[in-house]
Parts: sequence; structure tokens; C-alpha cells
Amino acid sequence: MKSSLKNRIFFCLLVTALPLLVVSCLFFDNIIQPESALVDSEVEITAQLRVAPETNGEGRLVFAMLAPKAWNLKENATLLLTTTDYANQGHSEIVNETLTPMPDTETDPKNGMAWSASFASVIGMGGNDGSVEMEWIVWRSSTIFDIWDKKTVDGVEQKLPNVHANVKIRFTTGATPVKCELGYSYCYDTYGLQRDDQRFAEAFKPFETYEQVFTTSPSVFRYGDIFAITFSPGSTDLKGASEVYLCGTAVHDGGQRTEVTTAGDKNRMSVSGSRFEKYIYPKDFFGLPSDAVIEELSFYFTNADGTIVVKDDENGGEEFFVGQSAE
Amino acid sequence: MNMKKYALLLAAALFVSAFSACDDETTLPYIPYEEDKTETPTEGEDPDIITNTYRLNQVLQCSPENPSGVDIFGKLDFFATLRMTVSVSATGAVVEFDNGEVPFLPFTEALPEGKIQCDLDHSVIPNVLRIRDTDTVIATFEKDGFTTEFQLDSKLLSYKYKYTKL
Repeated sequence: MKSSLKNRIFFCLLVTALPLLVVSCLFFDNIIQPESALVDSEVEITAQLRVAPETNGEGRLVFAMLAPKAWNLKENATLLLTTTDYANQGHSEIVNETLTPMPDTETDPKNGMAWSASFASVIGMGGNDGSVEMEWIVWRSSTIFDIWDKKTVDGVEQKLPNVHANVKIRFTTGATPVKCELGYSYCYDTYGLQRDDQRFAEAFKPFETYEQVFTTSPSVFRYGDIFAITFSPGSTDLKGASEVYLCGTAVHDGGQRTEVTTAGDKNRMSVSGSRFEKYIYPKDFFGLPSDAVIEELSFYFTNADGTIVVKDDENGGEEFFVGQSAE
Repeated sequence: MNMKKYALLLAAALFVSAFSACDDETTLPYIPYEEDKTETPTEGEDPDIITNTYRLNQVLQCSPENPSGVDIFGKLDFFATLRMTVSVSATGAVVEFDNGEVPFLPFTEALPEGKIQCDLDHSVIPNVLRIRDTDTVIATFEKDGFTTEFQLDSKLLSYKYKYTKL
């Protein structure tokens, strides 16, 4: 009889405790990430977080990203956290709080492992097959979040809505082309990572970096805009050159041609990682009047004395043509 | 609420500017709360005129892949030559816009030369610095200061000038 009573009490306690133990309340609504990018180029990713407060939670946000080790994101990435519904919890919204790298001495309370090792152990390495060396990089917030599932107003218990947050991640890709899956995860530092008591979110997305001799950015522009021309000299006769100059031709106003053919301060390109880069406003670059109408633009690259010239080998050695978008 | 917030921020910015730009005999800044379009005090004679000159601090190029913008200020030398001087008094604001060596204008039409009579419109969010009796907005004013947003050729790209006080 006594034993039966104990079992009933234990059962009641277990039923009461169960929702607290099994509720998974952290999600990614979306990861806004490009599928590819140039080597040595800046990438911006936005992770959209949603915390469904089905139980009370308190702790710092721990955010982790799986990325190629060669990118050294611990040193080279910036992460900014902004909340959108935290005010419903009675707190001020967090706006662009910088997440800082997790100290190496901090450990996951669930397993005692260093955080990076814990993410690798619990979340894993996604679809990465080992051909690219990957690592989990871990950051945390300075804000200690205090998120409740309910509040009582005038004696009436009300369920609180979800809390949303964006983590904006900026970094520069490495110099070597890679193909991998980037991973994302977050949890509270007070809970840590455990599969059978899941209070973390996880996501993986494929990503690829590539090298291209001649590129322009942004993805859309017209000849009347400012845009960047980048040159990757690695596979060209200008490999190893310390200075590279942008030259080219503008066809304008009914077929007139204006050329930039000699090296000078105005057309010297800037070093950007393993590439060279030059932002131009075409009318200024070619010295055209403000009312000129540009019809075509093409470019090539030289060293300081013009003895080495790189043009578009894939197009019969012509200058690299730059098209403009429709709108 | 937000409108008041921005107005207060503008007031605070002008207050700080007044004390940093003037000596011990600085007059208290006067924050415009009503307009008198018939009388424009001459600069230098009215102690309640607060004048600040701004240069560009950031030029953000906003594209579909980078909607929050990439700063291209340091990528082109001519951006460093632009200046904007704003004098605020009880009767409104006077703006002098010197495009420097920038080869394009951040406005849909050329601005009048010299001093331009403007109004600081607190009735919209963000607050705007508008040429008097026109729809031409020279800049908006938010918590991070003056911003001029414009497009050049592509409809899919926009540019934002962010100013800082000289």
C-alpha cells in the first residue's frame, strides 16, 4: 500500500515535470545566406531566431557557427544581435549588441566540454565530409535574457508571445575556393547542449566560394551608378604584381570612344585580400561630362609600366565587357 | 511618441553643438517650435542662430544582396570634398550645400546656389530638412544624425549619405 502511494506521488511529480523537460523552445525561422560568394569577399548572413517561451528560461545567448577553419571567424567575424519582441517580456529591446567570442575556459554545463567541442559533439559537422577542415566558433551575448512563458495581469494569467531576434553575421571568405555546409546553432549558456533534453536550435546550409579573374559588384547596377571592379590575378600574367592599374574603354554618345590607357593614381587598384579592387563612377573615371550617355564599358588590367596586360582570354583577348542591368 | 523622440534628439544634438562650437559667452540654443516665414534674421546678428558644418562620414550603397548597405566612402576620393552647412534659428533653417568634387548630385534637381531657406519638419518621422515651399528634402534627421538618401541610375540601388560635424 505504501509502495503504491509512493508510485502515485512519483508519477504525479513526473507528469508535472515532463513539460519542463521535453519542451524544445528555440528555433531558426530562417537563415538568410547566399549560396556562393567570391573568395576574399565580404559576406553578410542573417540568422532569424525565435524563442517560443513554453517554459521560463534565463541565461546568455550562446550562438555558434560551423565554418572552414581557414576563415578564422573567431578573429574575423562580427555578430550583431537585435531583438524585436523582447519588450513584451518587460525588458528593453536589444539593438545591435555585439556578440563576443566565448572564452576558451568556459564549458557547456551539460557535459563539461569546451563549447566548441560540445557543438561538434552534439550537433555534429553536418554534411561536411572532411575534405574542408571545419570548426565550430562560439560567441555569447553580454545580456542575460530572462524569458517567461506567462505573466499575471489583474489576477489573470496570460501567455506571452514568442520572442524574435536577428543575428547579423559579417565576415570575409578565405583566399582558397571551398565547398562546404555552414552550420548554425544557439542555446542558453545555462542549459547547454543535450539531444534528449533539447533546448537548442540547429541548421545547416550549403555554401561555396569561387575565384574569378574579373568580377563586378553589386549584383545589379547601371552605367550611371557606382560599382566595383575586382581582379583576381592568381591565374594571370599579373600574378605576384604589387600594383595593378585599371584601364578601359567607354563608348558613349552615339559611338564615341574614350579610353584610359596609362597607369596613374586615379586608376590604381586597391589590394583587397588576394585580389585587387577599384570602385568607379564611370563618367568620372573616363572624364566624361555629366550629360554624357554611356553605351558600353569594357576594361583590362596592366602593371605600372604597361608591359603586362591582362584581357579576357575567354573572349578572344578582348577587354572584359561590363553589362548594365535593365533597371 | 517617436516624433517627439526625434525632436528631442535633434534638440540635444544642437544643444551639444552650440556648446562645443562657441566660447564661454555662448548663448543658449533655441529650438524652433514655431515658424515665422516673413522674417529671416541675418546670420551673425542673431544670437539664436546655431551653425554647424558637416562632411560625409559614410556613403552606404544599398543593393539587393546588401540591403543595409556597404560603406563606399573611402573607395572614391571625391566624397571627402562634400560639405553641408546648416544654420538653425527660430524662423527655420538655412542650408548651404557644397557638392565639392562629387560628380553627381544627391537630389533629383539642382539646388539653388548659395544659402537655401529650409524648414525642419518635425511633423513627420523621420524629421526632414526640406527646402521651404517645395517637396525637395535635403536630409532626414534621426538619432544617428542627418541622412540624405538618393538613387543614381538603377532603381534597384540606393545610396545614403551619413554626415558628421566638422
